[in-house]
Amino acid sequence: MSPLNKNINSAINSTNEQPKPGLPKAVGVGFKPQHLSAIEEDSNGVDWFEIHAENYMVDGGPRKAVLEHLAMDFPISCHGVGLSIGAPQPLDPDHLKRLVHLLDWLQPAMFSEHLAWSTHGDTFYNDLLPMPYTKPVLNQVIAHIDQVQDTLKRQILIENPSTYVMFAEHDMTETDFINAIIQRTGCGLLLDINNVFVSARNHNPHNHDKAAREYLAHLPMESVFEIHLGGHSVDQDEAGNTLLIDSHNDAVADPVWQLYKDVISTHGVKPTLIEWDNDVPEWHILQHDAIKANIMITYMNDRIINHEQHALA
Amino acid sequence: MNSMHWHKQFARALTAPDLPLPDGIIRHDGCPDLKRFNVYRNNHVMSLISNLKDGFPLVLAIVGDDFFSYMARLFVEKFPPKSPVMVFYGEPFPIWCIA
Repeated sequence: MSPLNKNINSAINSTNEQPKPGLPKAVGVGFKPQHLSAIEEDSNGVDWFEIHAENYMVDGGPRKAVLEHLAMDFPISCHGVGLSIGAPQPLDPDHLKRLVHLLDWLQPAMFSEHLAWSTHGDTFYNDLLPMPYTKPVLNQVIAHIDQVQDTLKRQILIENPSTYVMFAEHDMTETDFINAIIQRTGCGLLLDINNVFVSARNHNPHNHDKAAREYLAHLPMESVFEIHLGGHSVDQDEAGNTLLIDSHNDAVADPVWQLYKDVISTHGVKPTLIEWDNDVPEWHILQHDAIKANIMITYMNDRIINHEQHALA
Repeated sequence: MNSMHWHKQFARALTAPDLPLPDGIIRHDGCPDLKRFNVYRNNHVMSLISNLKDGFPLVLAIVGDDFFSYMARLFVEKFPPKSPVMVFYGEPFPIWCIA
């Protein structure tokens, strides 16, 4: 562990709070430039936005001007999709430099990446690909996260993946793997609840509900500093089992909302993002899911206040 | 399997639909499952085609979706991205189509 990570760890352990500045404990939406004028007209229910880092690794131009405009009014979360932290090869130094440059300019409230890989050699696969959960791979991932946090001089969040296959050589569970990463690097967790549901369904066809709840129960919830909610699509594997695809092309599904409700009622409200990246609808459809999340948050807060008042009476 | 081998095998099979599944890639009951692995193969190709459609809307409008998708598939197989910054991916695509 590097000195920086030790500091991050001790800061988290001593205060048990998210290092400042963080995202507001409210609802955000994945930003799409085509929504800008609709957002300016009515952003009700939305307190922050998330962007994909790689889309803004350009020199100036209209794209960055739009983001600069948005960032004046809203906290921004910067979500990387290209560091390839899970690959057993060195991180691309040019990509890290681009990231430093972007974060210096944007000063986002949060930076997050994925527990996945996307590069082999110099070929980029434009997808979030799975890795075996073994000790050698764990050590590589930890070294990469240490390197990223040291370079960026900030705590980053790592997102749990959705997967469609398993590796026969797995020698630990995904939650043990994630716990070890968080303990040893001081990074936080971006909890994607749709990913939890998709993977639980894909790998436990007969008891996916229990599997999803057990998965959540094994996560270090005090290290969750952001939640993602997105849509999935439904297919079948060769044996006729339901196969869910993390396609981000639909509204958040009911069982995912249910898991979300369970998480925030047990562990409190976390910054929550509505993601919709493909077949992107009109702004008001995305806003509808954001308002739905707000209603759940308000309901939970009211319940907590009522409970406290009841206890005082 | 050594710590690099799984990565090489997975990457190689991603872009070669004729190759069998990599060793040790299974579903929950321990069996290999081509449809599951093909989700990754499909995501890779379709996301790149979609990226080219976003980048060249005029070419798409002129030649139509079927022809664009056919040419884009050939292009992404021959010239996969070499950088995660997808904003610049496929700049030579229109010239390559004409050639």
